Amino acid sequence: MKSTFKTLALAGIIAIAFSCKKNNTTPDEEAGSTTNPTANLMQIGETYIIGAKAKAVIYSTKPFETGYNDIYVALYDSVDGSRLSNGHFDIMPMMDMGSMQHSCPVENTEDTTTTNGYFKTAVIFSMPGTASQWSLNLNFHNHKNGLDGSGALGVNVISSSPARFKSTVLSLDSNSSVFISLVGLLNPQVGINDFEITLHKKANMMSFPAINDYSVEIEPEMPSMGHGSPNNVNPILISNGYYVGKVNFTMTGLWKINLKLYKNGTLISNDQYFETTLQ
Amino acid sequence: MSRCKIVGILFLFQQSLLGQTTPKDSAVKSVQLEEVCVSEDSDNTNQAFDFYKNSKLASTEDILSRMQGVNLIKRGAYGLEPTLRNYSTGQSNVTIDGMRIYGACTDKMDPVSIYIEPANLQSIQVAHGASGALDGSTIGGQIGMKLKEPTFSCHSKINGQFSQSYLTVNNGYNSSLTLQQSYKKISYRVSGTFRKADDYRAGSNILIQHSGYQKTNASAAISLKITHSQILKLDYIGDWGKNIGYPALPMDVGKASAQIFSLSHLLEFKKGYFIKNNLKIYYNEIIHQMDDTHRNDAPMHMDMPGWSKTVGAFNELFGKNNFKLRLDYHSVYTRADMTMYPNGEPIMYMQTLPENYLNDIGIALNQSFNFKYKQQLNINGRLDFYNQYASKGIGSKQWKVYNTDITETKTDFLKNLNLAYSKKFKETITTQLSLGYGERIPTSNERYGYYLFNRQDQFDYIGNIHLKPEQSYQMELLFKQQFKKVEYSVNFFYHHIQNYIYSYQLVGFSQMTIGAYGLKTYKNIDYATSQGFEANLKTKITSQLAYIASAKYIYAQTDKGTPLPLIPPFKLQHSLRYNYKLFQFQFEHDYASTQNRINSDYGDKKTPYFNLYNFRASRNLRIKSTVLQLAIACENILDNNYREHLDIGGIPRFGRNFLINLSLLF
Repeated sequence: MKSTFKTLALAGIIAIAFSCKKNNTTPDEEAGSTTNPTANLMQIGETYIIGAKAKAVIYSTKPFETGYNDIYVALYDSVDGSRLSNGHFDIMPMMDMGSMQHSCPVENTEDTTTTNGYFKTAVIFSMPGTASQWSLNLNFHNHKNGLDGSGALGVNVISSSPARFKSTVLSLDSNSSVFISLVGLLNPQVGINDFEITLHKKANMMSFPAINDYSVEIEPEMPSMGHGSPNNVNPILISNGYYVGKVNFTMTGLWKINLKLYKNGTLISNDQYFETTLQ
Repeated sequence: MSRCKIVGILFLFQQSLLGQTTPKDSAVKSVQLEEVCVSEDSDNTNQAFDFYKNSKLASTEDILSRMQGVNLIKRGAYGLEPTLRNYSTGQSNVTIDGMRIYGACTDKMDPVSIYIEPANLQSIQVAHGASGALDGSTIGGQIGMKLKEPTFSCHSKINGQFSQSYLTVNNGYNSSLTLQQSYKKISYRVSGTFRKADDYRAGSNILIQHSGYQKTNASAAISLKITHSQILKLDYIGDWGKNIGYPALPMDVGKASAQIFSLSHLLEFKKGYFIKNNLKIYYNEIIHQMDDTHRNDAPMHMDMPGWSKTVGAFNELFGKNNFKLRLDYHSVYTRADMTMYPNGEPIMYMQTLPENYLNDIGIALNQSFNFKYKQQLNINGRLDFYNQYASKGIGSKQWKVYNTDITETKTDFLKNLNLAYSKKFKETITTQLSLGYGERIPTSNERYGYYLFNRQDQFDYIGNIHLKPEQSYQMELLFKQQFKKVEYSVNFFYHHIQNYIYSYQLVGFSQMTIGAYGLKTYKNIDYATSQGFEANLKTKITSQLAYIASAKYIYAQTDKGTPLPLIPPFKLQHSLRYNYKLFQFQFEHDYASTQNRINSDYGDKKTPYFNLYNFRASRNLRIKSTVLQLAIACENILDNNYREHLDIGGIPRFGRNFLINLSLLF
């Protein structure tokens, strides 16, 4: 009896030891790698989509700020509370400045089905604002009941710091107003990091098409020391205004990622940059 | 090579001063002759060493600089790095009682030799090339420093020495105290040394800023006689440096500490082929913190600490005919950090030497064979199995930007062999031909270093984990002749080093250090060669007047004919000594020729020739059972502003310096 107990105790200790070991090795060591994106969502707000008999709950990975924001929307049947996973969903962000209104770049999915239960979109807020200024106008065609509806949710948008959004007027591209947004790089690490930006052009107050004909060069720099880092990969167009490359950091501290934009081989912008701090 | 091994025997301090006096003198009787280390390899170069080791003012570095084939790379008034011919740290090994110790400073500010004060130094053995590969694979050879041991005597009276020196050139004070006592079964020896100096003045009264230093050294050893033939010995050395200035470098040392422990078991065989067996386990830990708070020109404050920890063990079995079998193991951890504090911005952190480990297991054998017609063949060989890897962490992540995984284990199997054949003619002439082969692994700096700034060429350096070991084919020829009053020797050497590790610029890559010119790394080039000679002459002109001279020259270049960096020019050192009763007078002259064969890529600068004159005098007094020694010296009598070619940063050396030393032996 006693020896059985001992064996069990020993087995327990071994099990604990192994489980500890496992825990120690699982933490994600790779910079910029993406785990399940919906794992750490925070709720931004909720609103009814009147007419479609649906309720929308808006989530994001962080509080809304100027620049690129992932948005995950969970839709529920407002009658029985069940999760809705089929329909056409889109968002139209709107800024009400009193005298005028404008929108900002937005990415609406063409998918009529959800991923992990969410409709995913992204909004690039072009300025900070309060919940009475910025609103997300939601439209939903509910395939469950065939009804159309819309709703609105006022949202707070703070200034990203350091800035993850840049807007510039490019005289060498017919005075276009161009928006540059940093995607990801929220937890930069020493070593290799994914570097992703989006480029949009302001066509009018309500329309911001993606730019697909630029090329981008990056040059990281430590401003206080004046040095760069080696073997960076310039972002190249993936689709729909997304440009993806790699940025390398050799040490912690404040880094500045200088951007150069080219169109048809002509340098049209070389004064834009993003800053990031590695702890 | 092995036959021309220089054995520096350090007698008790008074020995050198009284060495030429009549043995009937009462003061001589107080000399503890049991402290004398007698080596079977003593030869005339050893006597040269004794001759020069004449001043209690001498630091270990002063002693080293007088040894055959040893040169010193100087970065400040303190912490000179010994090199063997043209082989620096990594290419040659420095050991303390056979222990391996690795510097914690990536700028080589902490050579192992600084931990041994003359008060603790029994002897220094220098073996060039593969003949010095008994304690570790090497191409350059070994400087083996031996610590003084507690001895057993018939009385239990405390004896020891107190020594106090003063130097005018840097207002420097050196104090040391040694005590020793023995009982029937147990004996101990403790010593402490304190050195403090301000900034020194070079010739023509030029103040060299950031050259002062302060350090404390303590050592303790206890021997326990287990049986008649077995001794257990515990050794400890502690060394604490503070505010050590390095004028040639952009930073000083704020604090540096070394803790060196060892436990030895010595077994003597009374009869049979074997003589003794020595088993030792050891641990040492070096912590080194660079500091720029005394520098006004630093663009931002920076902390640069470094760590080195070594644990090891070896067993040495000695027998007749120079038989020695050594098995050893050691494991080293090194790491160096850099943290910068820019004004109003986040701190910046980097591992300039990513955390890394080196493990080594080795076996070495030495044996002599005597043949008729006075011929002898000495063979020594060594095999080493190394592995080296960096640990996972920020340092390995840093390296990913170069698409390099430094955590992968690099293994190297190193082989060393040396054959020395000697023949004597007519008892007075000895000739020796040595053929050797040696290898050495790349250092952790050379493999893992990350933006290490080199003051000499003003470039940042990154390592290259793909470096192969250097391999050296060596030939040496010694000719020695002894007459009744004159003896001389000439030693020629030629080394061909394959896969020589050499630096080159990474064009298009940016430096990290503010003000650096760019980025360099290392590669194995086809080969490099090194050749030269060392010559020694000693004469006893009269019973009171002696003259000694030594000369050395090295010519080294790459396969493309580019001179290797940091190659000393021709140098002549000679001295005349006159003994009169208990007085001793000595006049020294050093000459180094102009060095125009430089490697400008490495930042070598031409160095003009210089002449240096020193004068020393000493006197002994006996007061009852104690001996009082008084020594004075004037170094660089002409106050020349000069520098040696191996001095980093073109900083001139000491100007005229008066020294005074008072020693009390009891």
